[in-house]
Amino acid sequence: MTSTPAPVVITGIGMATPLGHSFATVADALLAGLSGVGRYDAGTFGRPQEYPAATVSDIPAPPPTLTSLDDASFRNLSRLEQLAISPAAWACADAGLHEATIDLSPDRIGVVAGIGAEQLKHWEQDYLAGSRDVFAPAARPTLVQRLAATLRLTGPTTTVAAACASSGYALGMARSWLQAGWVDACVVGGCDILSPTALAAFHNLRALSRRDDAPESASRPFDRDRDGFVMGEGGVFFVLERAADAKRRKQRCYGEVAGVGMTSDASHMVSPCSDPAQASRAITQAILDAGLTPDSIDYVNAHAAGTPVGDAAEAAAIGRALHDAAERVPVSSTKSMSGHLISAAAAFEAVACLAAIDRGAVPPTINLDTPDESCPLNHVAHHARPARVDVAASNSFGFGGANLCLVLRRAA
Amino acid sequence: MVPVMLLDPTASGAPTGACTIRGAAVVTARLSEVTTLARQPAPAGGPTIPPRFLRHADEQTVVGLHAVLQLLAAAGGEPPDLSRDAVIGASCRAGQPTAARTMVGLEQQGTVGVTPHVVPQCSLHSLASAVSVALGMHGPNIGVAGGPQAASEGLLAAATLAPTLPSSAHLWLVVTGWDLQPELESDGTAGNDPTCRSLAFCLQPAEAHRHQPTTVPTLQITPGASPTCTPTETAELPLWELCERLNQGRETTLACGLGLQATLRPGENGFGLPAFTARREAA
Repeated sequence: MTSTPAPVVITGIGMATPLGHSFATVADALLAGLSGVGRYDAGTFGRPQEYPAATVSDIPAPPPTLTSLDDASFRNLSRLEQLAISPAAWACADAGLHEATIDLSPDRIGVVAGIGAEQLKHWEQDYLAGSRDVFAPAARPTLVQRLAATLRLTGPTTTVAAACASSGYALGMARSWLQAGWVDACVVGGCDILSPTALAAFHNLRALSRRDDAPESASRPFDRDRDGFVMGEGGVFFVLERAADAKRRKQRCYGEVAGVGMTSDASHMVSPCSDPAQASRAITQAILDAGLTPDSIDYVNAHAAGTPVGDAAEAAAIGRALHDAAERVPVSSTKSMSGHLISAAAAFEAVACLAAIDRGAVPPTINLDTPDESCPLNHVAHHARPARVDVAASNSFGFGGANLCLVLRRAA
Repeated sequence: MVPVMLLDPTASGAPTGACTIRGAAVVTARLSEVTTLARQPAPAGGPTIPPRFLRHADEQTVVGLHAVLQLLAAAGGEPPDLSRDAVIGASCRAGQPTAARTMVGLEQQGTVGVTPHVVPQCSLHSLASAVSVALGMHGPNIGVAGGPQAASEGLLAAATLAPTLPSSAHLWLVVTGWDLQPELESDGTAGNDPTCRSLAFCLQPAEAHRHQPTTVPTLQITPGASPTCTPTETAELPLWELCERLNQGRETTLACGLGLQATLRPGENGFGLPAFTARREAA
């Protein structure tokens, strides 16, 4: 006899992003069409180097009851550590994971972090600070191990990387652990920081927008005049639980992680794939995994980062996966407001989907002045559109051909 | 016959954590040999890869992809259809030499001194992506770990992903690392010549509710490592030591946190690894 895997729901959210540090604040910002993009100086060794970018200011310290870190200790952590520990701790607090009434063993709580290039970021920050760990690295635990230790969690941990889809793959991994019964709760998300090396590498690849003089309008997914993406930073973490457990302890459910689709283009290590076949297959897989049809989708949060090839390929993939429903389903790219949070992007965009479900409105693609003819979608341009959203799909694609689609559903 | 225990057999349709190991291979290369290995064609009898495909690749990607190629060549026969396969790359501190050269380039030349390949070729996903792109695998490609628990995290990720694949698909798990981490001079050139090592597994999910024959090696995830159930090995078992244990056909259990453990159980021919020297070099 085959039974249906247990539904998995989101019961806690924590974040530190260019658009705010709480679900309510970020939902407000997204629906108001605010931009988190500004001018950022990534200069090193006395050379200024400005880019349009989305930065996080005033990363909140974690709630004092959840970690052994006092404020000063927290401020001494690396920026990447801060963007992991703060959101993860706030997600745990939101889910009430550490309350005395919760009978949940730390051995049964997992931690999954989507972080694409932790070592590179560590070596870079260390080098810029005058140290030279990169020449002879010392053994050190990974960030996810340090995160789990800080939160006093002793269940399974792992770091997951699929480039710009990393935190989406992390959500898929955590969901599978819960459905397998390997854990009873999972802290999962992703984080990334702006780094001079990454900005330079993407700049040299000509992947970044060159609208240095107008940063707020530089991120313009699906627009005819898009010229590349705008990098951002942030950390977004969730607590996932089986729906039955969440219901038993009367915990708020932001939504269900109802479906996951994962494929690879197997095309090129760097260049986006212009063939939409595998991206489309990921969307279809996620919809089927949720037990739904394309007609059930109320909103698509597109990966669309603002690159000429990538946006057009995604539009074709959405059209192919949704068939006739593509004309009806509203699509937007919240990267127009948040910038591209790289490893944290998929988690942040899952938040955008939850905001749409919670607020009954679809966040817009700002800066979409002239929709590109090669991206024929039902765009939500400039302003949020009121709509009941019960099911939202969120696409994330990355270097190396990683394609991911998450389907998020209003919790029953 | 000893049945393979499936975790939570009532939860059919969800991952059970049991996989059959269809093959395994180990490739090692000294740091000084990696560039030559990257230029070598794939072993005879297996699929080919595009010339110069690995010219920008990280050392761990080079040895990792070659382990997969060796495994495919050893299988022989008709060229396999890999299009539905998936790959997990579990590396440990990959990208270090390129990162060092990039830092030196950034300091000396500014932005123009940064290679555009550093992010796509030296990130945690790079190994899995390279295998996927080189061999046309359209299943998921995922990087995991990044630190000393690469084998443990890789096995757990493989057991998580395998049950979600089509029954005809294989999951390739490639674990890589340095026996000793490279020591680099201040200009980024090598000051030692350590061994870069890869261990590749070809896995298939075990069918739920079916006992696996003991003739084939298996991977399984089971609850364990609670205060009363300690795994036989740490989660940070060095890769060279794991290779040596598998070479000797020894059952090996790695902790995955305190709540789970991953067990590699040999079949009647051990793990099917050809004889090789796994000994760690002296520090």
